[in-house]
Amino acid sequence: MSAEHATWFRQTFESIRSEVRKVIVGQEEVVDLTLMGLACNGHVLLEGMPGLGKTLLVRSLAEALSLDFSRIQFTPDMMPADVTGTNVLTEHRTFEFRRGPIFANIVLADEINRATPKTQSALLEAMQERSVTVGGKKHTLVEPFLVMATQNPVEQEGTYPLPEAQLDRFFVKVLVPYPTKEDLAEVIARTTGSQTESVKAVASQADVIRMRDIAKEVVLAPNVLEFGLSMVVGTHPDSPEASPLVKRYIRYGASPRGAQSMVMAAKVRALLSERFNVSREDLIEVAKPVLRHRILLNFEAEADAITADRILDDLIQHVKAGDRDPVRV
Amino acid sequence: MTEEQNNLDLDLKPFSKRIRTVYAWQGLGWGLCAGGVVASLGVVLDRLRVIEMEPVTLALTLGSGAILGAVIGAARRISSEGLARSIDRRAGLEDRLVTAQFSTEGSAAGEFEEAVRTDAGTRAKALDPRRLYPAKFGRAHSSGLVTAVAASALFLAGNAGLLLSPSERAARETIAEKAKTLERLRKENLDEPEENQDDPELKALSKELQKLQKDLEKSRLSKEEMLQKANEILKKANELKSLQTENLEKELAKAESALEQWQKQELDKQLGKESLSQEQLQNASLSAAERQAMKDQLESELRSAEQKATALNSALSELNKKLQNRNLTDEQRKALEKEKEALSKELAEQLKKAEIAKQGLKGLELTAEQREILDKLRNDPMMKEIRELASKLQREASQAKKGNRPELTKEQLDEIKKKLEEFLEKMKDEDARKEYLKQLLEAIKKAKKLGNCNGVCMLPGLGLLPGGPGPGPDNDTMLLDTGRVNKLDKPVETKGKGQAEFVATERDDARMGQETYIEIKAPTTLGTMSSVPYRKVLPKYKEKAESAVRKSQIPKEHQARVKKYFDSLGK
Repeated sequence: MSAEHATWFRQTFESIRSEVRKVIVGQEEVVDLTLMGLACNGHVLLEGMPGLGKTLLVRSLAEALSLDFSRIQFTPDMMPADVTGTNVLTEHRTFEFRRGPIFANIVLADEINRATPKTQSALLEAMQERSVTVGGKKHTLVEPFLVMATQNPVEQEGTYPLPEAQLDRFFVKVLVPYPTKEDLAEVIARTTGSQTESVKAVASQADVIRMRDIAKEVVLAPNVLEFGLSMVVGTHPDSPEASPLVKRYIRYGASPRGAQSMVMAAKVRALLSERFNVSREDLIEVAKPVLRHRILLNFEAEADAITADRILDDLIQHVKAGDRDPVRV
Repeated sequence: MTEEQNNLDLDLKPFSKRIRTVYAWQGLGWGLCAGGVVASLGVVLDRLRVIEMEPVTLALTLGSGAILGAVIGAARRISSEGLARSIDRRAGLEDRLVTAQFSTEGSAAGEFEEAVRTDAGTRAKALDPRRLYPAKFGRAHSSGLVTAVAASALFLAGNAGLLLSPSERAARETIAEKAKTLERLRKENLDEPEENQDDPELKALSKELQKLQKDLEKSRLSKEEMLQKANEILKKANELKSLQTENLEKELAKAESALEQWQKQELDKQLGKESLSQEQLQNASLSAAERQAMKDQLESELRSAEQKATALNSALSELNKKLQNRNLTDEQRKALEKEKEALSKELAEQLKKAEIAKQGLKGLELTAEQREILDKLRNDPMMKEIRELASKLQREASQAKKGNRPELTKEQLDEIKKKLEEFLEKMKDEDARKEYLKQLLEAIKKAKKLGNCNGVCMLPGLGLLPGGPGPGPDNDTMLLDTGRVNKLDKPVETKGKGQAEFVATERDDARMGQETYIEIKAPTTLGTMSSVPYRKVLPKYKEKAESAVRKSQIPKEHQARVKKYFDSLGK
């Protein structure tokens, strides 16, 4: 694989991003992380207030990639079959499997925390195994398969917070911020005017798979990996590499899947930064989106209003401090 | 090692070189700092008189510290991984070099291996090692400079006298001059002479003098301490002088015995059975007059002993007759027997004396042949000269024993030594005579050492002690026990009562020449201090003064005054 492949990756990524930005104003980090999830074959959890363009982002992404898109609006009365599909009796007195909305390349699981754990766990198998089992029969999902779940940080009444196991299956957790004044002005201009931008397909299904293959080839040096692992291991309060804040406020640290996600995200970032190797900066950059949903805060953190991001910031500084220049002159 | 690995190493070589230079530069700073600390410690120890610190030593300590630091710095090595990491960090290469290194190690680095290496190589080449690793004047250098300056300042403050007043500086200069003279004295008398090299006591004395000299050079001693120190050294020098005198005498005695041995051998060779006895040989060196006087004395002793023996014999015969009387009581018999016993004892003594005198007389007698051969031996020109040289040494020893200065200079001693060595060369198989000469040469060595000790006794002449090398005996210890007597430079107005009385006169002494002097009688100067109560030392001083009066070392017209003075002190 040569430099041309990396260039192609960058260009494809850039063109998808440009297309999505035609309809999504601002939210660069959200767009990039979502695309990163796509390039790494990872599911994305978007957390933000309603009306911030989460659904539009996912839809635009599907359009730009000419992929199948489906949306599931989760409600407490939704059943697993509503997600996976079900066997129906045909006129020929046979059962036929009718695919649920999960059978799409990009699935938007809107307000996922409103579904019951039973329904959530149906999604769990699909996300991890990329297949669903109905009536004892396994149905493989199409590739690429990407779940983009959203959840609302407020209105927690009547919701079922996602269990840790399920959260861990998300590649990244993206916090969708409220747009700035300038961005909001642009949104208004675009949506209330006579002219509306439409998203064109700039990449194919095959391109997405190729992008994933290219990203995997980015080189990761052992000591760079060690640096990243220090951050992951450092999220465990009983680890010697844990920072004081971690020791005080974290109940459980990140899983090995966290380390895998971090490396993959860093690889994509390296390619986007015109590099063929993962750097410490890449790992630092992706640490928060990758780890923030994988650490479980204790009661004291809740009481002190300490967020996972704050603890991760502290941990990053702690690990950076231990990684000094070997030549002290 | 792969070609790629080599290429990358070559790319990083200038950085490695530069880092070593910077390490050396940094090491120089820390080395100077360490040198400064050591030098400061040295200066403090120098002030405490534990070690000697010279300007050269100070400079060497600082310099060697800096050089050592630089060498250690330059010798520091950094791993290639560490180097790559460091460059990545400093140049913002985002781990390109580290990854390139990993990818050249043959591991499964992925499909981008080649691209990673090319990228890293290109970026490394574009970097300037000097900009990446600048040789800055850092904390190490400022610390080094501060400590070096502090050490130098400490040294200068203590030695250069920058903070002293002009009068103190002048006093210091005077002391420094004395130190120079002291150095010359030490070198000439103790360090340079060949004969001193094997003498640990002289070496120890030299060491003490050197210490005193250094203390004087650096003005580390107060005047009292200087006097005390000089006193101690002078005492030791005098003790050594006595020891060397003893050694000289021993060597001369050995030489004399070797000479006798030689003469005996010669006589044995020539006279065979008629050779001289030890006694005859000893007396052979006597002059005719001495021989006659000795003979007369021995004859008189013999006569006296014989007469006494005759008288004692008749007394004993009488006593024996008395004892044969049967009418004697037991007590009378006992008394007579006691008397008889005493007379017998005395008779034996007299007979012994008579025998000794007879032997002595026999020892004085020489046959014509014996005399002739002895004269021949004595008149041997070489031996005559050797004996003359030996007698010079003998005189030297007796002068030293009396406490007088050595008469022979070093040059004269060297001349004697040269002559003796020449004689030694001439004697081929004459081991006995050779032994004599060897002993004499040994004696010369001792005489020289004696002279050297005497040279050290010139301390009073340097002004380190009150008084000076006067014409009299130089071992007058009246000056030695002054303890901590403080002689003031400036006159102090005294508070004591009394009138100063000046007596100006001239001393006329045929031996000593003429000298004008002033005698001052006045109360003692206040401020003087003595660690020894004067009443304790007065008897000793008085005794010495009386001895000096007895030996006529004090002119007659002043003897009464000296006595009066010491009497007044005792009241």
